[in-house]
Amino acid sequence: MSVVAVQLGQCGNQIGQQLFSVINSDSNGANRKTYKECSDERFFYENSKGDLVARSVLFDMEPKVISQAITKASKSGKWKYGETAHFCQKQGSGNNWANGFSVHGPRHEEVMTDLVRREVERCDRLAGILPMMSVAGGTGSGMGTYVTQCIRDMYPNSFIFNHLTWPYCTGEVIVQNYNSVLTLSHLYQLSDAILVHENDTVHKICAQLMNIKHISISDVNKVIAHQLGSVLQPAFTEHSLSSYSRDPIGELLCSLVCHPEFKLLSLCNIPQMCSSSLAYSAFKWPGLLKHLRQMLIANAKMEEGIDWKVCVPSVDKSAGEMARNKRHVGFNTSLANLLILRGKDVSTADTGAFKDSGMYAPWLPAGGTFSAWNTSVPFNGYEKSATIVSNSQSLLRPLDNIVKKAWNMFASRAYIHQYTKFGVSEEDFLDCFTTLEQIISSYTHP
Amino acid sequence: MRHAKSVKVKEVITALCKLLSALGIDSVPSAESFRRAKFNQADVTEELWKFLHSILMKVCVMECTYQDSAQSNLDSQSLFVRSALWHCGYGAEWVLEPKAGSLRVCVGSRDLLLAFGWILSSGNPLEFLLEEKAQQLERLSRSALDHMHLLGDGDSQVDVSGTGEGGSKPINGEMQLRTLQWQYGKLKLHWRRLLAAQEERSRLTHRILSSPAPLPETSSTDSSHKTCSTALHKELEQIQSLNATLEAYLNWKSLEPLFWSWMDSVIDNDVSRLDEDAVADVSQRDQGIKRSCSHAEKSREAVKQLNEMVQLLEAELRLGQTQQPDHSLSTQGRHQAQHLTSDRERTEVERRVTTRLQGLRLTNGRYPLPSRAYIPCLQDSQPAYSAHKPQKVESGQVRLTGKLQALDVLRDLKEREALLQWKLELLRQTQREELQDHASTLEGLVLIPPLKR
Repeated sequence: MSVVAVQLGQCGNQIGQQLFSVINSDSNGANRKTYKECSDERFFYENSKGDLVARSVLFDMEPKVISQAITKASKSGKWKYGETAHFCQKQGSGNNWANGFSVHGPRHEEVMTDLVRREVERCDRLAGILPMMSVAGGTGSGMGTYVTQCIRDMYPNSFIFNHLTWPYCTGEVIVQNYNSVLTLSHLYQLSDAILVHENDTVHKICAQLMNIKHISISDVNKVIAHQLGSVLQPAFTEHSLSSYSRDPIGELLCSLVCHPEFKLLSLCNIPQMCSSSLAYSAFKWPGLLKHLRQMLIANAKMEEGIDWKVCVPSVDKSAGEMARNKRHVGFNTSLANLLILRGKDVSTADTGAFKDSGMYAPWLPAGGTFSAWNTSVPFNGYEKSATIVSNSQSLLRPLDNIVKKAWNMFASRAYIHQYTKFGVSEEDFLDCFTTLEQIISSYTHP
Repeated sequence: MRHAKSVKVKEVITALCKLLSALGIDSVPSAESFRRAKFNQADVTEELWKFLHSILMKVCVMECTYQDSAQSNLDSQSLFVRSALWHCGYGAEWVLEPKAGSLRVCVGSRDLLLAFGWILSSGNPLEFLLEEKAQQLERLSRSALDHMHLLGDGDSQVDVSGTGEGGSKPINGEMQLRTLQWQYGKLKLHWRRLLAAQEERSRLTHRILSSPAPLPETSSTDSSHKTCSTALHKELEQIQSLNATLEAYLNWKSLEPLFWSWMDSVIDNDVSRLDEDAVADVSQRDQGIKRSCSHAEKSREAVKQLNEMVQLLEAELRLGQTQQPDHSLSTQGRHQAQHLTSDRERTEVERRVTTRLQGLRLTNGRYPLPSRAYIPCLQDSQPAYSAHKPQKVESGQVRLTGKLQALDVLRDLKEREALLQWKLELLRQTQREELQDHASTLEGLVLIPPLKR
């Protein structure tokens, strides 16, 4: 049961490399033989020399980041990338989605799909494909969308689980909102689920929880990789209680994204702190879960600054819908949540508080909203850790911001010619806006 | 060429029959019945009625999601066929204006065969049925959104009140829909997971089987697989049946042009029969011989009526020529009109007008107007367009008479056409409103607009 990662563009390649690094170092911890076997099968294969090789393909239009990722991997001495599992060119996409989607993508389609196919055929069973990219740039977003489209065509029944990094609000790229709108609207139709990390949120975690003074991209990527790893590493699920789940992506999708209008997933985990203070901290499951639950309902991505006033609206049976429909300020309605617990005494943890039907949209079937996975193996140095993957309203506000900003620019037709010259017409833009407005509307009234 | 075609005809029709049976049409006649229908044999009429009923039930009834279970006896079936054909716009006389008495008696098997040809050629009934069939057989490959209409009209018996608060909480339609979409999505994801597991198993099985020393235990695992995969077998059967249907369709598609050329020959038969009837009728009128077939009698009646009309026409023609020869010459410059008075020409014209009027039998039947005003109308509908074909003798002839009231009559006809169109529109509107009213009173019924043809 294996996952094939597709690392796209600068961001995707950096996070991908970091993810494999976290996964590998976590699996190599003490007393985790079966855990390691399962994890290795999921993310690596052994080549003829006995080296552990990541099940991943690397695409970028510039060679720099790919060669850095390959070098870092082989320097670790524990794993590496496949020798031919990458493709790069000499010239980038100039932060232009249309350039990546309409020019670079189709031009190199054959080479790229061949690489993906080769990696997929190496798996006895494909659990899913994990394309990783940012939505702001040109290569990751534009070419990434194109590659995802090709993968969907090649494997119509396989699971595609996209990981996206959303840009800083203040912006690195002037047209980042255009790129985001185009990427999201396309991926929403191609992908089975879209897991999102916002740079702003992760940046805050680095600053406030990890106490990093000068935050680099690498620090941000480490946090993202840690969170992602805590989801993807082996765990016992409701369907496989005695052995590690062999179908992690399938089970995750089954519990979270069954409705085609609701595909956006956010992630938060607890605890998160710098390694120096980790040694002096002790956590108990009830405390961790109480915090995590409040983070979920109050839509806080960190344990600091949680609004404790937000509470789950009571479901008044006599008043029926009325009571439920009353908007509680700051309350984050969920569609489905997946809680993953890792560490000591995990069997004592009580997850009942997450099953409160008041937390979920009223139309969801009973028992279909909450799932929990667990393993007693501690993750990445944390004695206990809890992660929640949530299909909820939490991404509504950032998504709305992106669309608004993009629309304001589009209204004055700013930079549109940069896109039309590569064949992305104003009509295409309008279609994408419509798609996203539909998503916003769905999540606003879940 | 023609011989090769006739040899292949049976094969072609058999292919069509196979496809129709595969698409779930009941009582599909054999190729031989089709052949007999071409020659209007009475013994296959009943079979064709049933067949048309079955196919129209499938094609039309699906469109308007209406099902009448009390369609068992043949009379009501033929009535349904007639109204369904009328609804689809088929313009044969027996559809538009059936004679009194049972439809089954006065409609021949060739008429029904032609009606079938018409159904087949208008719209894409086969493709429509194929799509329906494929959807039935391949449930899980459809996306959840395709099912919105199915879910929408789901009865309240379906248990979707799964919010944990029990049935006391009212759940509106949209919520039900979302719940079902969610459940459906989950089911589909499970199906895809199973598919991945199946792929893995086949990969591993292949590896075991292709390894140099196959394990003897494989047979025991096989038997355990057999017991646990009845659902898979069912799925397999469905896929095989879908495959067979698709193959039948492909086979039919390759043979379709031949079928249509055969249908042309059926039409030719029909047309030549009309001619024969007309000729026979003239002689029968003199001899006073009566035929027993009511259908033929009906045609004969029409021809008789037309003959009278022709005589009237001739008289008027003559009158027009003798009364205003100068005028006609000076205004229209038709010098050859003078020659038309010759006997030979006149018989020729008479014959042609007779045949032509037979073509217009339908119009004539609906509006019995053998009046002075109507006569040029019958002839004038052609000359207005056939003015570019001066080589035709009758066009000259008709233009000569056309000067009487051609313009008036044209105008009259146009007005009548507009009036009829308006009436038709009005009727349609009322029908639609009635249907909508009816649908709105039935809870849970979703009115799906008819397929665009």
